[in-house]
Amino acid sequence: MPHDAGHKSWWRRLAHPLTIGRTVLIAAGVILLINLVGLFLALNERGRADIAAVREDAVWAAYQLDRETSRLHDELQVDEVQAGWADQVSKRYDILYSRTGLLTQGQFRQRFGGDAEFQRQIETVIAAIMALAPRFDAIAAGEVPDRATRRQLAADVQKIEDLTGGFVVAVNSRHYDTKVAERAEVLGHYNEIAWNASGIALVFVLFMGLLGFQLRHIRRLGNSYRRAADEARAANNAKSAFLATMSHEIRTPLNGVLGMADLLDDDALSPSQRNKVAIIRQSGDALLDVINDILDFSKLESGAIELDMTSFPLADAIGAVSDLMRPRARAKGVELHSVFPDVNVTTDAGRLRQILINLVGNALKFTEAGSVHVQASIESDRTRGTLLRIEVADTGIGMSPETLAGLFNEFVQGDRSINRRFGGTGLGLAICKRLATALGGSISVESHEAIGTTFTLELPCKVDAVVHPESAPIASPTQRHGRVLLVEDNPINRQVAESLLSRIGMTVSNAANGQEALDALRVRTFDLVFMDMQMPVMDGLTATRQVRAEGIHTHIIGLTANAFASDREACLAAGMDDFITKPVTRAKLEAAIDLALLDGSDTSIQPAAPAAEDDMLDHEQQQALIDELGQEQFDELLEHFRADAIALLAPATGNGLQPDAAQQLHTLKGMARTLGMRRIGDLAATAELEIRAGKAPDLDEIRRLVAGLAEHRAAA
Amino acid sequence: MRIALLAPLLAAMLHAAPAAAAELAKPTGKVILEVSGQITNTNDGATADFDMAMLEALEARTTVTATPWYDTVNTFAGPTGKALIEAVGASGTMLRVTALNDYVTEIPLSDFESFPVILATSLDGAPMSVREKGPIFVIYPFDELPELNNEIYFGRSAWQVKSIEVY
Repeated sequence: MPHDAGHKSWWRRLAHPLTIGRTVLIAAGVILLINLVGLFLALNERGRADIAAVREDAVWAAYQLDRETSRLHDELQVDEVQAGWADQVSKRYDILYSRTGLLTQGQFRQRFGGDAEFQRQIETVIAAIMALAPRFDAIAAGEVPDRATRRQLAADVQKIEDLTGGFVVAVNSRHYDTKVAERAEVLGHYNEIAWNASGIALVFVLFMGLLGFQLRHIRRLGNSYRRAADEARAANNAKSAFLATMSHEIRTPLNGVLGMADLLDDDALSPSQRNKVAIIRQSGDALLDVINDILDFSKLESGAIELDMTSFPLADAIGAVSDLMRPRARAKGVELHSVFPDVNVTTDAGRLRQILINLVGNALKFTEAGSVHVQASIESDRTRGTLLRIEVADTGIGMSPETLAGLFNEFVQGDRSINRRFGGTGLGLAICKRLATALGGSISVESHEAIGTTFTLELPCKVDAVVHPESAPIASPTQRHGRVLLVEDNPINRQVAESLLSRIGMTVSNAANGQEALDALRVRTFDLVFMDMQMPVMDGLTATRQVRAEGIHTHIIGLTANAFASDREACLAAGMDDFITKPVTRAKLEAAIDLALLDGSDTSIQPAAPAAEDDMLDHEQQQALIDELGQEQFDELLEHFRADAIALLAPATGNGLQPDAAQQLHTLKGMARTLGMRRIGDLAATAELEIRAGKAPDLDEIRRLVAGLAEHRAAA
Repeated sequence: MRIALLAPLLAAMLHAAPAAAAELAKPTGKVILEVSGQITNTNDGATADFDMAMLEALEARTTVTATPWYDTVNTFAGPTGKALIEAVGASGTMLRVTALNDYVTEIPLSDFESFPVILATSLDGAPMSVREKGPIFVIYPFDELPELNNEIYFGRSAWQVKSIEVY
């Protein structure tokens, strides 16, 4: 059967019109070429035979014969016989005689030998000459012929002369006939050569045409392939988008399950119930992990990955991951070691942690006994610069070479039995690889079955020595209080969030959609608003815009299931101050509340009071900068800031505002906060929000403060 | 080594040196060839006359070859052209060869030096009469040297030669 198929495809390939055309053209070209070579060879052969030369010799020989006959005749016509006449006459006859040989032998005979008419003429002439031999022999022997005998002899020679004369004419005319025939033949050859050459030229042109056709065919094929690739890519993107959407949809109910489990755990439960709650919690966490994997992968796939490159102690990544994993290792009876240099590295800490959790988690998963060893080192690579190398080595089940080959591909697990034994989405390593690539590094693996596996992560990054802070004063209030408006349409989510917020210490009011929130904010004052994004009647973004438009500056925190950067931007652009991603947890809520209540921009609580000195500047931030950069450079930065601030504020001086005024104030806000200019930053933030809300901002105080910077510096 | 190099050089010098003018022996039989022109050795005024005996005394050669004038391969014999020009002390560049019928053929003198050309006086062992294109037939070794087997050398092959002028 395979042989049959092969035969068929061979035949089909041969039967393709292009192939046939090409074959026919090549065959025609070869035949024409062979013909041409044959013609040239024939012409060459002709030239070598040089029949023309022989023919001319024949004409010459005939002419000579006639001439010698004529000279003999002349010699015989003398009136008086002089001394030496006999010698002269003998010589003439001998020469004439010698000429006869040329007509019967050699090339002359070869040329004219086959011609009966010529043969007859030649024989007649020769016979006539030979017949005179006895009489000339006698003269040579001394006999002197009398006048009458001489006349008789002359008359005989005259007869021969008539014959030779006719012979010359005959040979000559034959010569011309042959010449014409030969010329015609040569011309024929040349014509044939011309036809052959034209044929070859035609074949060449057709071949070019064929090639052109093929080229067009190939180009068309290429286009269709490109189209197919585009379609495939579009389909893949659609798949990623679908995965992301599905993950969101699953996260919302899961949020409810986890939150409720948290709340149940706080209630008075029997040990059995507590155990069940713990199982619910664990199952929910496991499901969340899977969904996070898929969401992560979708984001990586669609290229929506954002990196946050900061300098942090390596211990924060490796130490933290080890601590996180240690309970699991202990539960399995596997040793978990980690060794790393005490340095600061500059990379995305969160992503590095994510990779390490995956690698260490995998190592623990596939190791039943023995150890998992995490070792980090700083390498100096000539081409890639400084490298952070982290090896995660286990003494687990290992992998076969076949398994290794597809290891980093998405949706692929070691082998099918692994899925049954260990579970998982099969996305973990694909995500790790993509993250490592996104961070500019690489990830590789070495494994031996039943011996163990070593994953090696290499990331190019800046490495600094660790500066140990003497003390880190973190002002984190243990008990919070305030009035919160929770805007959430989903009753379960609402209940979860409400319970969590109450537990934190907040007083919670509810709104089921944006319109209700708007109504509530119009009549009551809140310290904070938690605003869901997607709701019936009025969604979160529209509601926020409306709130800002009405001049209400309450701190609004978005609740979003969308972790894409574009969603975050949408939140901030609508006028929100912050956002947290679902599922909502106590930790996330606490962090957001702390940030909001510490932020000086919550102007709704207290109307703008005269700024105290401590509200003006963030001394801690400034001191940190001065420590890092030195006083001189800090002053230089300050001067830059002043100049930039004046330039940035300029567009807003006229009657109308520039369209990019909000953006400029946003930039100003960022710069001011970086340099510890708290008050300027806050004022810029407020002004930005006002512009976005469509109101004319009051920039006087900012201008005053910026102008005062020069004095401040001079004073310093 | 040095002698090996010098030998051909000396030979060339000896060859190039003009032979001293000398009297050639007088012919005793019928004169069949007269050589004139730029020659140093003569026996009749400015001419060198040769009879058959004198020609036979010169260095001879036998050439077996096919020719355009005969059907068969023939054996030609006679003095070499080189021996003749050396005998008369020729110093020109060309030979003007005249036949009994006053037919004139021009032959470069170098032909006689480069090729073993002969002035054939016998055909297949027998002397050539006038009727057999004798008494002297200039024969090139057509079969031995294929480069001679063309019209140029056929044309130079004069027969019934009676005189040669060196110029």
